[in-house]
Amino acid sequence: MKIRNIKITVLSIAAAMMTTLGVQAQSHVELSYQTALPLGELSDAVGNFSGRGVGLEYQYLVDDELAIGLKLGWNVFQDVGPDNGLYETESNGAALTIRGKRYHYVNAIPIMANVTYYFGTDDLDIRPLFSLGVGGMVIEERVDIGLFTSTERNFHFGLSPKIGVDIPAGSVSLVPSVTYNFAPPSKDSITYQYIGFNLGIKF
Amino acid sequence: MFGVGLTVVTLLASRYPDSPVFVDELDIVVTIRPDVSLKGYNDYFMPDTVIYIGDRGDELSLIDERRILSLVNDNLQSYGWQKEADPEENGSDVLVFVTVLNNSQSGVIWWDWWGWWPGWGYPCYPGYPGYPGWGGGAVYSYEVGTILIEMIDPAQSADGDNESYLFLWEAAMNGLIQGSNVETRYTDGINQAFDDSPYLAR
Repeated sequence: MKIRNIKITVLSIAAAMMTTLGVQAQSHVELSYQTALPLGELSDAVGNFSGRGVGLEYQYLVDDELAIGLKLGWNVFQDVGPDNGLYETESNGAALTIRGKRYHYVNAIPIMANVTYYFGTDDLDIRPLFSLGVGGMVIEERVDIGLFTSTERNFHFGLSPKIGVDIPAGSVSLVPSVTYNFAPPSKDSITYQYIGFNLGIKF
Repeated sequence: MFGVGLTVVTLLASRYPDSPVFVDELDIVVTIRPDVSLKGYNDYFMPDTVIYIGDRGDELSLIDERRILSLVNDNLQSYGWQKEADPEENGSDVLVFVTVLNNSQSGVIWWDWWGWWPGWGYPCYPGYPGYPGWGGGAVYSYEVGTILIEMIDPAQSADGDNESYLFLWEAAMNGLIQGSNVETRYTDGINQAFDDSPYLAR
């Protein structure tokens, strides 16, 4: 599935959630703008801070403190190499050197089941929260050098704990949060991990 | 309200990362070295003209052609290769071709043995193969205007029928005769290809 299609799918699911579920008292939908700081091997590959991310979370309130649900996300990391960078590789027993400007993109798409615990009581204006997402993460890495393109897509196990604060603001809540996203290697890939800094609107 | 939020978040997140803007940001120089020893190869013969493949008509001027051939000669000789002055009489260890691809090609970076391209009709010296065709695996699509420099061993035929030859080295400079600053770009590209291939030194 191409990234553009995934984006359309995420947005479609958001619209479907609102259409079919409505914003009912026992359920919420949180939409968030996400930035991310790559860590470890991901930082080595694409070290730049990412300002491109979006998240969508559906929560069903089991009681006043506990919610279960699903969450989707999409974070894009990128790194642009020097104008005349040297890259060496091998193919069919031949040694290749490639000189050029390299564009390296990593798309991380978490798809997880989620449990959220709200601290305090509903009477409090501001409620800290902790949540844990467990599921999978689709990672697509693309490297472009000139017209060379190499794309690799893998599905990883994924884990995503999150801390945040629920701040009521009229009919919605603002939810600033920090997430740690972790995806261990799949096949020969690296370990992907990054910290997300998110600002959500909860409906 | 949700629709507004969705729109805002989408706009914030939708600016896709930087991509190439100028044609020279797509310039690449590729060198390919098959797992073949170059020991014992010392002299070369190179046709005195650039070969064009395709019918786009974006040909180089004669001045540019001569500059390119001169650059290749200079780089080979700086690595200690000797240009064979009388190939008809003496032959040469290797053949070097400079080619400009004048149409879009799919899968043109090959290594392995080169196959004869029947009907090509390149005016070779007696005893030399015509321009070889391609017969290996495709990994890449070339842009129009790509310059190739190839080196083959004309004495080693893959199948004994003189229709394919041992491929020793290739350099490809993507799309360099397209766009602006053509002379600077092909000069830098050719010099870079040789700089990235120090094993060519004799």
